[in-house]
Amino acid sequence: MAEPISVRIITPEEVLYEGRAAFLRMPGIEGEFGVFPGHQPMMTVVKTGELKIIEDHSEHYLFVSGGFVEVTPDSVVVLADVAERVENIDPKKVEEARARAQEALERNAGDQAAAAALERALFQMKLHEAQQHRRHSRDDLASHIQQPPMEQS
Amino acid sequence: MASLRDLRRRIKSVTSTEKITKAMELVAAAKVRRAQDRVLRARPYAEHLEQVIVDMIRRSQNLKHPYVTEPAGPRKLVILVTTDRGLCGALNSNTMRIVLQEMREHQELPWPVVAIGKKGRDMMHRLDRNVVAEVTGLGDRPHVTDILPAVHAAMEELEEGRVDEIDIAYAKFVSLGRQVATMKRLLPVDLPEDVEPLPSDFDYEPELEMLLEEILPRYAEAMAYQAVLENAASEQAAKMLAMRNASENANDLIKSLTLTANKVRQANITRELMDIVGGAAALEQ
Repeated sequence: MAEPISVRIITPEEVLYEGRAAFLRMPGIEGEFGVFPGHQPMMTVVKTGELKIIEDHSEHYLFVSGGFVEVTPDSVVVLADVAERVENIDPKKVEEARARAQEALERNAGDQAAAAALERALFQMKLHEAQQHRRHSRDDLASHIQQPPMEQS
Repeated sequence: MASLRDLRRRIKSVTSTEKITKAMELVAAAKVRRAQDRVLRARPYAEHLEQVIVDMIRRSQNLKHPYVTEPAGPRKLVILVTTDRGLCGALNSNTMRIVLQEMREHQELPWPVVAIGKKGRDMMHRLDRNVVAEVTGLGDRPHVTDILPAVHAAMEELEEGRVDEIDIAYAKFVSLGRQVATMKRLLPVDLPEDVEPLPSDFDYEPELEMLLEEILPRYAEAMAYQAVLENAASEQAAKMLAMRNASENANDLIKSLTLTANKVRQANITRELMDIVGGAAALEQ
């Protein structure tokens, strides 16, 4: 196997993840895309969704929303607007955020910030639930998350 | 000379004030460490973003964007970062002084202001300045999303050509004992000259110019956020020092008041003895 990629997930607040991965998958503007070591250098936009990092013997799931990713053959740097480890998602807070966003949307349907917040909250909820499932059944990890087919690049 | 009762009352009141300032000092000391930590943790984002931007700008020739072209004129907007609360020494007045000085030097300009923090906002309202946007009540853990509306309001002024430059003024955190009032350019981006280029042959998706359009505001936001975090650390450091001085002053005051009170007490005792002795002597005669 090729040398692992050095991965850094950075938000305006902190460096959320730093490590070496064999593979990672994230939501790009044209659907999900995966990165193996030796990837063509590129820079693109990150959407709202799940970022999966596979290390040698472990997997990490992060929620990301907005930002950029810079890929070189041996490194990936994600500069995310919002990011959180899935296991740290607090369902209560997410629910509150969802309710707030929904309320704002009912008052003003054109509120784009609220629409984005709602999308984030819904996605966080979904990832949190998927995480709960994973904790119970470790056999089939991917099947609990409904996602468009992965695009290889 | 004040009566003994008054002196005792003052000693009691100063003692309770000292207890409060001492407590505030300890709280600030605990908070300053965490605030410092937040500044450090937020640094990689801005640093990496800067590296990426510099590299992208180098790759894109003839890029015309109000965020990267040198300022076309002298009109500036100031993002004034101050604290929400007082009791932190001259921190806010130092920041406001350098801003007001700039304003006085170029009185003919409009000088719109975006205020982050109550103290600066109140000051600018008093001076009848044009406050375009304001954020207050950030607390000890400001989140980047809290300041975004204000930063966006400032960027809008620049994009629509009402100002040529955005500056940010805040108290830079140098050390526990030193905070420096700083005013620096936020936009257009002040590009450093010596940054290592990234590996070439990059695929940009969408194309470079569009990406840059997205990234530049992020950079300004990150820099503003950094300033807000530093200001928060400075606030706690300044508060710690101010409260320590207040506690020391209270201690000195208690000492001198106690001394006076003891003198008055002794004088009273002496007078009473004199009365008794005088009375006894009168009876004997």
